[in-house]
Amino acid sequence: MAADDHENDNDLLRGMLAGDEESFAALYVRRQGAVYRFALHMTGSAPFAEDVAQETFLALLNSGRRFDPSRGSLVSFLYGIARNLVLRRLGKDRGEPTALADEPACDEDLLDDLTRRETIGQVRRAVISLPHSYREVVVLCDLENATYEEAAAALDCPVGTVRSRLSRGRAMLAQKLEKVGMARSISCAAKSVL
Amino acid sequence: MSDERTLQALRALAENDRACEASPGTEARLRRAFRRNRAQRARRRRAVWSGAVVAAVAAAILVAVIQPRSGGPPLAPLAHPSGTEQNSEQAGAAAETRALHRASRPPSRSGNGNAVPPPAKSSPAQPAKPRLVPQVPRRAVLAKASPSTDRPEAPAEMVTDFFPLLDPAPPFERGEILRVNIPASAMQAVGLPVRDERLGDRVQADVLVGEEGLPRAIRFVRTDMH
Repeated sequence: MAADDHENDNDLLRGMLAGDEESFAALYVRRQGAVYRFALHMTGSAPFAEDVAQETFLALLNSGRRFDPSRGSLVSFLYGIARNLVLRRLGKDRGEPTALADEPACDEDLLDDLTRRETIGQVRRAVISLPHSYREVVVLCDLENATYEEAAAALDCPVGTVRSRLSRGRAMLAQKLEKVGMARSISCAAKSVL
Repeated sequence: MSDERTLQALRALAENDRACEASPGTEARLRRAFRRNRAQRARRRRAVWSGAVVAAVAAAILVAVIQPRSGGPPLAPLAHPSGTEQNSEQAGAAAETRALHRASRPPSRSGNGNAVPPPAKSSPAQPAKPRLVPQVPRRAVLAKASPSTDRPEAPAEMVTDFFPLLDPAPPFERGEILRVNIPASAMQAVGLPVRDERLGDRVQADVLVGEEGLPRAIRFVRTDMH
């Protein structure tokens, strides 16, 4: 992410803290998508992602002064807030989402009938089925294109931990996708989307 | 499944969800929350400033009350309105003059029975829009009270309306007006504009003190030297 973007975020935050509503709105428009998608990919629930996006920016309103630019970017700070909200929710639900558990373990014929949308759905569920410590790095680094440093700041862990979790997370994801035999359909889905 | 395939799958998912975002309703709710938050902070700031003003005024009153009383007769409290139709500003001027200069008047004139309505009896209940009102020159008022007194030319005064210091204020029975010297930041606390570089300046103010000793209202005084 460009340094200019961070600078703009910081300027907008300063404006927001000074009471400028338009700065707050501009900051929201710039960053709400990333926060929303992070929560969506972590939980698979659109209404919950909506709540998380709202709660994250409310928290920014109330404790934006605690943001320290020397410790990371504002987007990492927002991811950090969203992550805490997500983990709280997952804790309340007593466990990880287990979307893949409901899927047929391996049905060769099913793949032929999957549409691109369904294939994407399978990948989404595979991501959600990862343990949350791996899921969050996969979501941040592979889905939201956050840098390792940004992910480390958001997750409050060293960059090395991010790297190792990402590697392990991808491997687990590959296994899960292999299990449901998605190798072929992924290629099709990727081609049609990208 | 290879790493490349996995990454391909993730990129497809990311691309598919790129447009996903919170609904416009969330932005509207957050804007409302932002305005509420800003208003609450402003209220808190005002409350802190008001507290500071009350404390400063109370301290100034303490000093102003103790000093004159140690050297002369105590200031007589203002009486209830007695039906006399007086202009409130004139009444304020007269009351101010009484409070300020009673010590210099002969004791025989202090109990003349003139009931003067407290000038700010209605003002504290409903804060008036700040405006400066030309005050009767002190010398003119004093001249009626003691025509023989030969004083130097007194400066003309402009005063604002009274601003309440207690909200809600307990019922007002009796009180007196005291002239005090306070920081200009007190003006800001009641909503009057003060330039930042003048916040530390001292300004004169009249404080209406109830008989229970609580500062009820304050008005600010500007003295124009002739």
